[in-house]
Amino acid sequence: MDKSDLIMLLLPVFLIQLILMATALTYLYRASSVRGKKWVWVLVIIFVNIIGPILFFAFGRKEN
Amino acid sequence: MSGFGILLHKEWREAVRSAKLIWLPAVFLLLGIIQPLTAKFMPDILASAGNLPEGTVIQIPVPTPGEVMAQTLSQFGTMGLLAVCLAFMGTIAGEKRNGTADWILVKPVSPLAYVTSKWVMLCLIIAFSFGLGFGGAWYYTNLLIGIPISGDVLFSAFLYYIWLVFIGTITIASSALLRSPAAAAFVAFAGAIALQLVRGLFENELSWLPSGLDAAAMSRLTTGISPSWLGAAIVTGICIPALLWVAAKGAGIRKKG
Repeated sequence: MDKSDLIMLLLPVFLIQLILMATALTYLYRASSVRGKKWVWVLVIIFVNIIGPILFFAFGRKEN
Repeated sequence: MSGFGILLHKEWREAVRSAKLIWLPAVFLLLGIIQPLTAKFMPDILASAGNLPEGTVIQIPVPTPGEVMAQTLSQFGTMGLLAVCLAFMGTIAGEKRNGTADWILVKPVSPLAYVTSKWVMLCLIIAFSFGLGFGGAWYYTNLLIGIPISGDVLFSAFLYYIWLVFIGTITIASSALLRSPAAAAFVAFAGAIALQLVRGLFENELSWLPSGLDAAAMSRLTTGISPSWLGAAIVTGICIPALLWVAAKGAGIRKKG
């Protein structure tokens, strides 16, 4: 198990995290209004991995 | 049944619009991939965490492939379940709040068809998410740990899928009965945890509870046998239609005013 093998194994993890983050940020950017402040959500989505985007999709979006 | 097709289509568009189809599979896939990685590199992780005295030797037995898959299921049983509850909490409560439910139910659509269309979509989304996540776990376990017995993996996946759908059904039912989506998610998640706890305490008397499915799925992977899964499956099979009926009754109740 050398470094390059490990990187190949971890790459999908980072990619999926990135997809999750990018999706959440896209939806945040497009939303006309969200619960709370937008910049707070940006921080949550970027710095709380996995759970941050979930929280945004669950509680951040206003249904209208 | 043309009305049902339209309702299904609406649910599909709703799933796409709310990005459920992206984030739920992503969450399951992450959970599924991370668990085998953690199992494989646990000694390295502990060693690099430092603060151990010089010369400490850590002996961790390498888990069997089946055990790693079972650990993945227990990850799904906490984070995964929470994600499912959060994804579907607003499915009726939210629509009641913003008037969509009233708008649909004044048309000649039975509340049961309305609820069932949601349930069918839930089954599809959970199948996709859980299949992706468990498949990812299987793939990584093959790479890193060893090859689990395929028959056991598939059978436990089947049992666990029913358990996930059952919790999703509870979420729909509480979403129909309660006003707030958050409360619906809480009720469903707390119910799932309570069922697991109660079953763990009275293993011999209450193995027929729906949470027996989750326990049977794990024991199938670790020991190769899944005791009393049939009873739990039958009870769950009775509970799901009952919950849908309750949800239809709840959805049919109009807001005052």
